[in-house]
Amino acid sequence: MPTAHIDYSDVHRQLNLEVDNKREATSDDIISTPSGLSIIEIQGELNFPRDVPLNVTIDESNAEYIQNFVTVNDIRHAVKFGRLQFDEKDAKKVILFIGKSQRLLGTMVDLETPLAVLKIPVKKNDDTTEDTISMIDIISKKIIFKQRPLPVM
Amino acid sequence: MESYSLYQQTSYDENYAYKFLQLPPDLLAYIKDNKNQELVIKSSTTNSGQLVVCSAKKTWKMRQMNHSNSVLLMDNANVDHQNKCIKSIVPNHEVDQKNNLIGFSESTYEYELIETKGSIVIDDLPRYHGDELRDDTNNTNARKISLSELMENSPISTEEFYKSWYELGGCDIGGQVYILSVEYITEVLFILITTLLSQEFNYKSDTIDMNKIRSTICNQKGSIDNSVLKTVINKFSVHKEQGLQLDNFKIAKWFGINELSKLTTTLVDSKEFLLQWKASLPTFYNVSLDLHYLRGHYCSPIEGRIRFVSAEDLSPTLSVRFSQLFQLDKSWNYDDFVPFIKDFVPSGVKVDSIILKFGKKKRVGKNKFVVTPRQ
Repeated sequence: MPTAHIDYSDVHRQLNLEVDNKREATSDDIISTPSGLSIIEIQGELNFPRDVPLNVTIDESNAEYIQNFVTVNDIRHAVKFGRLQFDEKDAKKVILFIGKSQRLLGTMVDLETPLAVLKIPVKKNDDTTEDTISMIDIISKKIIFKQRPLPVM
Repeated sequence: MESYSLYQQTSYDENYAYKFLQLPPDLLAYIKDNKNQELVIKSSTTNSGQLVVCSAKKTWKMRQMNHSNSVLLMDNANVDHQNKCIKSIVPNHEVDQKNNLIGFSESTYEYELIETKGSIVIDDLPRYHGDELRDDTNNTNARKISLSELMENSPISTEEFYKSWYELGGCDIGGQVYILSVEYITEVLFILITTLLSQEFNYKSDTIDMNKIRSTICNQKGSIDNSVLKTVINKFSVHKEQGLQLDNFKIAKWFGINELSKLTTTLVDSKEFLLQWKASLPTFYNVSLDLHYLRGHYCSPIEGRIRFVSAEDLSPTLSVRFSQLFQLDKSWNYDDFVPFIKDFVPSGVKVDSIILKFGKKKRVGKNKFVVTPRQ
């Protein structure tokens, strides 16, 4: 595969959309791009549970844990790992609550260089078709958590 | 202010991977201003692992920047919420459908783009001498590929490709690419200028009528291939608004280097060389000639006498290159010396700093300097 084409037509359209400046910005406008993507960066490694507790008898000891698991569009499983709250005084500051005992202080920062999100088809061994890479979005800000977790008082 | 619940998928889409690519301002502008134009990722077949991004005009080298942070790519379920339904795995447990961010990919790196000059690897392409009988190079192992294949396999944008391609003397004959030999380029260039002059062409101001010159040169017996002529014209022309004009400085320089290259072992008087140089040009092609045009191709170990130096044969390692140059001449005129090293000086470093590192710069006149070895 010496050459792969990048289809950027969606991004081209988004970049040339007229912005309605009269409309008041919502939380969604602040947190994500018009197509709904956001980047969250947390220092260090996050260990998510990979095993979904299906067919497990729910009792008082595990109910709260199991309730964190959901299905998205009946296809994929996901686990809830926190709650993100904007600072009431400064929309650029956010707090991420993880569980009931930890919180992380973060900020919304503008990226020095915008990031394109590329959606790249994963080739199977026997697949010889020429798939196009899609540029699905351009992200110009991210939420970054640089500090150590603090206890929830 | 509102709050959002954060979810992360426990498994990711096995059919697609999501990667981050930094967009420099010129590439961002290109994407915004051009609809459905060329944008490709290329991998070099000769330098495996090296990836480049090419627009129609520019080339950027891709560098993978790893990090140890957790970077999550999240999808806001409020946007296009009709297509995002979240259900608890616990029966009868309701999940709020509002304000959910769902992570569907995580990344440990992003690609940085560094603007670079694209390149075409021509080492293993067959050489074309215009006449197979004169072909003394071993073409048996040469790569036989078409122009489009070469372009696809070269880490360079289309516009840069054509600029470099003609500069390298590349041409496409019978669906296969060749590199024209120096001797053949000189021969075709000589024929081209002679033909133009016979058509009362003013080589200082007129633009080249491609159709006219093609019909004159390519239709002759033992004719020159159309692609060869196109390459030679593009190599020795400048693009003006009206069309292509001969680049007289470049042509003079080409003939000068060609004539100089015959003096590999013998020193020749510079005035005598200027006469030889003038004699090598087509008759009635009177362009100005100056030895300075050939800087970076000669040395002058004895005042007023010069000898050819093949810059290609010198080492690309600066310390070795300096030693090789000092073996040819112990005291170089500063202006004659700099062209031999300037392409190898790292960006952001002054040429003089490099000279002072590997040699000495001495003043020998009011505005005259020489470069000598340190000892």
